[in-house]
Amino acid sequence: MTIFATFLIFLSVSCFVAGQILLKHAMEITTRGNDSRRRATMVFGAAIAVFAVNFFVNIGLLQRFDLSYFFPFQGLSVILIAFAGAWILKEKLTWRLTIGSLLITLGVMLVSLS
Amino acid sequence: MVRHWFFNAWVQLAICVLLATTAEVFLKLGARETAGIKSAWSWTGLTGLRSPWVWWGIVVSVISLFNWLATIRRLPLTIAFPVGNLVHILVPLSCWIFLGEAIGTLRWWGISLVLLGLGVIAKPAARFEERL
Repeated sequence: MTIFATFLIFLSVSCFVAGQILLKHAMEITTRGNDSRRRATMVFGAAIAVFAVNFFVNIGLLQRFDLSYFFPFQGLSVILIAFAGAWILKEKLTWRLTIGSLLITLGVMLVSLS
Repeated sequence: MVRHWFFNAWVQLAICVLLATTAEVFLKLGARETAGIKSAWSWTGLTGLRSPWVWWGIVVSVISLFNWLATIRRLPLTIAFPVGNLVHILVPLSCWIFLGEAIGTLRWWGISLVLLGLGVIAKPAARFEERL
């Protein structure tokens, strides 16, 4: 795997994780009332933009590699979202949640590999 | 009462997972139907749009996005996202049942691990449900 391919995979997973975090943040803002509607729309728009980047990077990866080669890396998003949720959104991440997310990550990677 | 039940975050997550699974099966049916179409654009997948199954797949995907938004409005992402990965169990099972696709040993192991992971996070998820 070349450095460029590693970068594209990293970018794809990062964009997916960032998109989910932004979506969640936008939903959190909507619960605060009407004053925050404009800000929520902006964050929601940013989430869609990041998902669009993820979409095109994925197409770029598909043009270079087999789906079965890079798709297992998408499984990493489960554990990364758990950590990002705890770090950025200050959500509670217990050991049980961490171990469960790790098992799901491994499971998704195996399903994608087969 | 029914409205209150329907908008529960867990019900929305369950609907989201079921719709995402349905969308994948619809898209696969559409892709299968249009696989033989010869066109200069066939490599883009755009020829799939000639199948009504693909359009239904797109509609169902969009609806599931709204269910996902309703889910993460209430549930923490650290719980909702791992549980949402139930899709990775339901899609292979649906393809096995409805499309006659085979599931290899490695995939069964993967499905078992996802189930085990879901079992592990069930307790913190149930604790959060009590607070809702």
